[in-house]
Amino acid sequence: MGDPAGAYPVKASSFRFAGETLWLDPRRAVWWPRGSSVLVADLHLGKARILRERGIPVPEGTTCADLQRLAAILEALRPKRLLILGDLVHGRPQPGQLWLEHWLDFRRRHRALEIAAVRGNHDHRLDFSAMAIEDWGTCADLGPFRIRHDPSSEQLPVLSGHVHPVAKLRLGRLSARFPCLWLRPEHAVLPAFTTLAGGYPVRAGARERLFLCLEDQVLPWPPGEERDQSTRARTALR
Amino acid sequence: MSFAPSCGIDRLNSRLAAAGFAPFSFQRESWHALESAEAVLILAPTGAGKTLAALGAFLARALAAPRRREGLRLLWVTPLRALAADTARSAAEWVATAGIDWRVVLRSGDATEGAKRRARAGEAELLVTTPESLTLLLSHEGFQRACGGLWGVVCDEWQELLGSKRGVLVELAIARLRRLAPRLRAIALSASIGDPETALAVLAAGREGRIVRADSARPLFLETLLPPDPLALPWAGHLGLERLPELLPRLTAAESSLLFTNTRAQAEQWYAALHSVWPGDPTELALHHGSIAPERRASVEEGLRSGRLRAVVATSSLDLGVDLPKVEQVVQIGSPKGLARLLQRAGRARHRPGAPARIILVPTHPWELLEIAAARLALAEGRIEARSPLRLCLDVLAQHLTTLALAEPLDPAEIFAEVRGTHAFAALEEADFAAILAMLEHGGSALGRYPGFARLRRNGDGRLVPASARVARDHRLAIGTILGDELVPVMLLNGRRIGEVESRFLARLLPGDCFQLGGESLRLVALREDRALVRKAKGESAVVPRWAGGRLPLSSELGEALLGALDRGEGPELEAARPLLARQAMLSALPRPGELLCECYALPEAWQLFVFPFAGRDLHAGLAALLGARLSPPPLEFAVNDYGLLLLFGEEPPLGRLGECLARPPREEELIGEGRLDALWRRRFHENAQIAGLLRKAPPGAGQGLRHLRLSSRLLFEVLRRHDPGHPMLRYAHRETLEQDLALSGIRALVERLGKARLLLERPRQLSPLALSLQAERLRAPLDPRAVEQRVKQWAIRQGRTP
Repeated sequence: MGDPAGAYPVKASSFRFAGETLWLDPRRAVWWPRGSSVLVADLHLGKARILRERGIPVPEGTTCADLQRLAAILEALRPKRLLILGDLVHGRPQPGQLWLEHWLDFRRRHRALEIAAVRGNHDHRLDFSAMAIEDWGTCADLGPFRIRHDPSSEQLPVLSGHVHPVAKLRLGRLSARFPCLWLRPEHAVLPAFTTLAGGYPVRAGARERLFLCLEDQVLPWPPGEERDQSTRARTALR
Repeated sequence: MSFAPSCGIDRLNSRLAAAGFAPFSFQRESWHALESAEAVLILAPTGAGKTLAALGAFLARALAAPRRREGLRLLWVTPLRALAADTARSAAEWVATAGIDWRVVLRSGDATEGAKRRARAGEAELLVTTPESLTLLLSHEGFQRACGGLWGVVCDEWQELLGSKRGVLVELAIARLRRLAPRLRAIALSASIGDPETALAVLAAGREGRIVRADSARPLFLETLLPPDPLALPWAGHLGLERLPELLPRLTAAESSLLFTNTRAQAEQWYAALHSVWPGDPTELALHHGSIAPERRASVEEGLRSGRLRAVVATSSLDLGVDLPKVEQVVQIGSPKGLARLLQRAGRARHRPGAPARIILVPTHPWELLEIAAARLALAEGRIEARSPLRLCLDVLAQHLTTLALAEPLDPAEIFAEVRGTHAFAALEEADFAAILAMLEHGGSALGRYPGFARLRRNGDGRLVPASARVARDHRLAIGTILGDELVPVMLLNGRRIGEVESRFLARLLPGDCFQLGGESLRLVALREDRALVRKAKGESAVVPRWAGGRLPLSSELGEALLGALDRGEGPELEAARPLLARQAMLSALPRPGELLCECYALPEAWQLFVFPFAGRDLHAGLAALLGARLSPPPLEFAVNDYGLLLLFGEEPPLGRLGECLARPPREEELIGEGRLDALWRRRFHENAQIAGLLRKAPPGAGQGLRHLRLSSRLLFEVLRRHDPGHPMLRYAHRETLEQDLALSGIRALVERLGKARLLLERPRQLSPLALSLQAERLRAPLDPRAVEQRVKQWAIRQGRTP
């Protein structure tokens, strides 16, 4: 598996991190070709169920739709490994819950796929083995970089989730929010995979970039690879 | 047996006489009206003695057979917290004058814990409360039991409740009270009301009712502080601070003045400005609005009553009720936006029998001269806003059903009959009722159960009960229909409370930043989960918080009078507006009745089309939707004000097709549909979902901890549309958007009028005065959020290609 170019169904975008070339799929997943791994963060499976139990009427089908999106990405890239950067689930699974069945069904269909996860704040006591997932504790070293859930500082470059970064773009009085990958010098924060969560607005600071997920394509932001940092204040990103 | 036996009335009369009071004839008439009528509407101007008119029959009844500690007899519902304290005080005085051993307890959002407990237990004969607090009380079984001995309920300032969802909440509460106490008498009080028969019908809900009128209302004398050069006023200004130097001599010449503003932010800024130029003792000035801590508000009200304060800047928080006999003059900054409000505010000044009410109006932007001229015209023609009561508010129904289920298991058939007994739900269909029950029970539409959903569940005999204690607790926190952003208390380090601001405003501040609240400059020290800690800042420039829901829309009555004022108005305001009107006519045109003015301007990358029907902002929003559906290419964004609407196009608008677009009557699906006006629908849904309790408010003090249990209304809206488009609240929000935001019937009449109008199509070289006023409008909305997203996306992608 190489670069997701050519006949790839969506327009992904590559970025350099910790000396490696990684790709961001606009469906909110990262592809690491050299490690043959797809990385996703913050799936929050079962969140709809928990909200329903608190009296918020979220209909069925959100978990299922998210897992279908994940399956489509795996279908296109055929990686060896799926790595989950924490918060796979939103709360403790109960046997018989529909979303858990959907997950186990997903797992059965991807029998050959290695799936490993680091723990997030929502699944710090989860029994990963019951969901047929390898448990990598709170962080794991993958050679060039480390993966963990929350973005605390580390010796090695870190790929993390937790923040649910979104970019808010303004064009005059119009504005729109897009989930994004927040790329910082020693640290990359993945967009939340779930569609059932708001986001935390971030801006690109000095030596940082955002990669916006616009459904069918990724847009590096601010635009222009070698843009002079001092002009950034004038861009429309707020 | 008569309701108030004559021996009781005799005793009351003699006690009043002993204290030096002789009841007015309308007061005695009100007491007797309750003998036969179960609902009585008392119309009397402020200060005429409504309290005694409403109380008398109940006092007489108590005097006929005096008992100690008889339990809850009378509920007094008032729409304003400021009014509640005042009402409790004056009611207590009448109770004392009558020599009855009644406990008068105040239960509002500001009440003490002890008062709340006594109210819940019904340990009071007279309970003064607000619609929200009454609803909250009805969620307690003990309170419902205590209501069994109730004689009556009084709804003060009924015109404020009519036409709002708070009014619907009160209607539902009265229906429950009537079930608990079948002989209950309901009284509504109002000073100025457009349509008394409807107002009574809402209260009576099919029972026998009567209207009692006090003697004629006071005449009103309007004075406008005319600007020397209206064109020198800012177009965007509704603040009007530049008018202060002209106004100041009028304030210093008077013993005491009350300045009304239309928003809290405006009040804060006027207070600060006045403070900096006030020649006398600065403690003679004060500020009063709804976000200031209750004890401070009370001290300002006290200062107004005693005459200690010489100028008070206020918002609608002082519009109603509270008696202010010491206030010498009333000033309105900016347009009052409605005739009833104008009368109400003018009536706050010192009441001398026979003397007219006076108000000084201070226009803050040039077109407000026209609004004042229109108000003058409308008042001369005797027009005043009629409140059309809301019907079939399914979101309020959902909230009410949950509220009642907390108190006792709910029998669906019984509650259906009870709810149908109100004016608001008389036409409630069984299917709609069933859908709401299903939503509360299963989460979704009647057919789709959402697994794990828990709010109400059936107990053994098929009655509905809360699914858990948590549901009950969450619901009690969420009761009410006044929505806003979450309010965060602002406190000094020593714990003294200054007031509250919206969390969205605080989120923009960093520790060390200064902001202004309650007339004080404050520096943010730290933001805790449940409060903002501040320290007083000295002499630094500070930002003023903007509270949501601040701006008042022009009432449709006043809106209609605008074109009339252009045509046949007279008076000093129109004289002063001459240069403005001349400029409009020179740059573009001045529409006359039977004409529709449109202006088109080309901007870099965009075109602006202005249309000026002068029909009020609500109808303009609907017209924007219709034009959005019929014009191609469609507009991207719209803005409205009371004079017209602005459509923003990415390509040149098809001006030639404008006339043809207005020739056909609008169809429903043109106003709202796939992608169209989603922004309005979404905003309605946000309100409906909160009232119906579909979304949780953060409990006070919960902070970030419970964030993962919440969902934004935007996300819920999207998810429901994708996965359960038949959801009852989604459909209800759709209906409300059509009826309220788009005013479907009004829109039909407007399109008919405009279809016949002669189009004046202008392409002015520079923005005309009318266009400037609309350009300055901040409230803008995208017509279709997805189109906007697309446009931002395309723009961003273009940026990426050409660095």
